[in-house]
Amino acid sequence: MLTIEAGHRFVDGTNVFRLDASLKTPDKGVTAIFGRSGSGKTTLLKIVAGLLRPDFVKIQVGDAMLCDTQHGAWVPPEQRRIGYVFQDTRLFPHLSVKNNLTFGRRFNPPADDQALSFEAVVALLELSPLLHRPIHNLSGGESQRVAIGRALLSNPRLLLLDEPLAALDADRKAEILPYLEGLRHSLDLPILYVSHSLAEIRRLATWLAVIDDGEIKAFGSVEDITGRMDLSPLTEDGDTGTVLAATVTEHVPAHGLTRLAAAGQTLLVTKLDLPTGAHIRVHVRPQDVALALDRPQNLSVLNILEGSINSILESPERPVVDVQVNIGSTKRPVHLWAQVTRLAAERLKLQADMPLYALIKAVSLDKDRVGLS
Amino acid sequence: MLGFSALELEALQISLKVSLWSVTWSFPFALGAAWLLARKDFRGKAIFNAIIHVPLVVPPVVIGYLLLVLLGRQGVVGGWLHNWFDIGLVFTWQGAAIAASVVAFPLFVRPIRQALEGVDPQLEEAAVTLGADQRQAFFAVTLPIVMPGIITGALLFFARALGEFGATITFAANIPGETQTLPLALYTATQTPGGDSIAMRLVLLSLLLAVAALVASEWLSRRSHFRLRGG
Repeated sequence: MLTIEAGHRFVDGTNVFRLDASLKTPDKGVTAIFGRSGSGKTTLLKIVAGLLRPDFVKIQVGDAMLCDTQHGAWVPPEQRRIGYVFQDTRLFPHLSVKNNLTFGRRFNPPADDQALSFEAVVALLELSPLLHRPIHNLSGGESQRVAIGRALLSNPRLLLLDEPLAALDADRKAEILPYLEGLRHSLDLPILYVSHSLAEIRRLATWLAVIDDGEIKAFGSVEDITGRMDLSPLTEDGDTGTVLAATVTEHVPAHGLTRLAAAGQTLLVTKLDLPTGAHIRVHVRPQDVALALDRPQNLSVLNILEGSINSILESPERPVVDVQVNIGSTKRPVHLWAQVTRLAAERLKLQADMPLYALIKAVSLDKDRVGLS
Repeated sequence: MLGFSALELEALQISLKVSLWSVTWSFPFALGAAWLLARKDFRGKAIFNAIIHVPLVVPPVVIGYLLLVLLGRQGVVGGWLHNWFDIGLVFTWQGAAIAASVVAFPLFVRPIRQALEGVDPQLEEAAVTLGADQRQAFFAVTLPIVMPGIITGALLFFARALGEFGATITFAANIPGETQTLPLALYTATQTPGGDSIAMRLVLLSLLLAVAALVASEWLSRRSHFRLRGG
C-alpha cells in the first residue's frame, strides 16, 4: 500500500494555493494522477519525492515510512529511493548516456538481488544503441527513455513519472508509449503517473486519481472514474467515455479486422498487432456510439451490442444527452456511454430500463483506442 | 640556463611560486563567492558584490596600501597575527601572493559566476532524487559542467597575478630573492644604468610564461569541453 497525505499553503505574493491531498493506492501497478495544469499534480509528486517540505505530510511506501511530520519523521530525498522522471528529462549534459544511467549507482549501490540489473534496464528500454552517445544529440523520445532508465537504475521503491510525454510530438509519443506499457508489465514497483491526457491514462494506468485545486476529487479504477460523467467538467477536453475490458479472440486477416470478446458480446475492430488471448482495454468515445430500438438491418456498422438503458443524463442547456447503456448482464453490468442529440432522444422516447442496441463503427476503434491491460 | 642569470631565474621562480600559490588558495574562495552571487539571495548581496569587484576599479597601489594598513605589523589583523602567531606578511613572498590574489580575485569570480548562472539548478534536484546529497550533487553535476568557466577564470587570475606590480611593491616591497617577481625585476632593471639587456631577457621570460599559460589553459578547456560534449 502506498499512502500519501499532504497539506500545505503556498503563498506567492497575493496568490494562495492550498494543497490538501490524501491518497492510498495498491502496491503494484500504475496510478495516474490526472488534473489540469495548476491543479497541484507536480507539487504532489515533489512532496512525495521530498523536494518540497510541506506543513504537513505523511508518506508510506509498503513498510517504509518516509515521512510523518506529526511524529517528526523525515527521510531526506536522497535516501528515499524514489525514482523521478521529469517532464524535461534533466539528463546530465556532461555525461554520456551510459554514465547518466549509472549515476544513481554511485550513491545507491544495488544492495539486494531484486534490483534491476543494468543489462535488464538497457534491454527493457532498448538503450544499447544509445549508450555511448552524448546527451546533446539524443532525440526527445530517446532522452525520455534514458531518463526513465536512469530513474529505474537508482534502485527505486516507487517510480514517479511527471508527464513524460507532454513535451513530445504525436510521433514521439507513439514511440514511447509501448516502452511505458512494457515497464508496467515487467516491474514490481508502484508507479505514479502524472498526466493531463486521458488517452495516455487509459492506455497505461490501472488506477486513477483526479486532482483539482490541490484536492483529490475522486479515486478508483480507470474504468470507473473515466465512466463517471459527473467528473467530466474536470477533464478539460470533455474527453470521457468508456473503457471496456476485452480479450482478443480472433484475427480476420481477409478483412483486416480483429475480433474481440467484451461484456459477453463480440466486438470487431481494425486489425491489432496482438496475439489472441491478449487482455486489452478499448476506449469507446460516447460520440462514436449510436442507439437503435430494433436490431438494424442493411447497415454498415459492424458492432451491434444488445443492452438496456441504465441512466440518462440531460440538462436543458445542452443539445446532447448522455445515455449510459448496460451491455453486460444484470448480475455483471458493463456500462457504455453513448452521446446522442436531445432531439434523437425525444424521438426514440428513451427512458431507463428500455432495451435497445448500441452501435459502434469498427473504424472508430483503431489501435490508438486500444491499450494492454 | 639558456644564458639567463641566477637573479633572472630567481625572479621567474618567485613569480611562478606567487602565482601558482595564489591560484590554489584563491580557488575555493572564488568558487564560494561565485556560488553565493549566482545562486543565493541574501541581505547585503549588492555590497558583497561591490567589495569583490573593487580591485578591478581602484589602482593596485591603493589595494597595496590598504593591505599594509590591515595586515602590516601595526595593522588591525597584521598586529594580531604578529603578536599571537609571530606571523609577518609584509616583505615576504606570501605577502606578495596575498597582494596578487586580492587584485586578481574578481577575474577569477566572474567567469565561474557566469558559468554557474548557465547551469539549471534543477539538475541538482534530479541528482538528489538519484541518491546524491546536496554536496555530492554539486560536485558530481554542477562543478564538472562549470569546469570551462573555472579554467577561464583561473587563467585570467594567473595572468593578472603574474603581472601584478603596484599592490605587490607597496605591500611586499621589492626584495631580490624574496618578493622580487618578474615585473619588479624588470622595473629594477629599467632603473639601473646599463640594465637594458637584462630588461630584454626579462621581457622574453615574461612572454614565454604568458604563452605557456595560454597554451596550457587552451588545452585544459578543450579537454573539458570535449568531456562536456560526452566524447
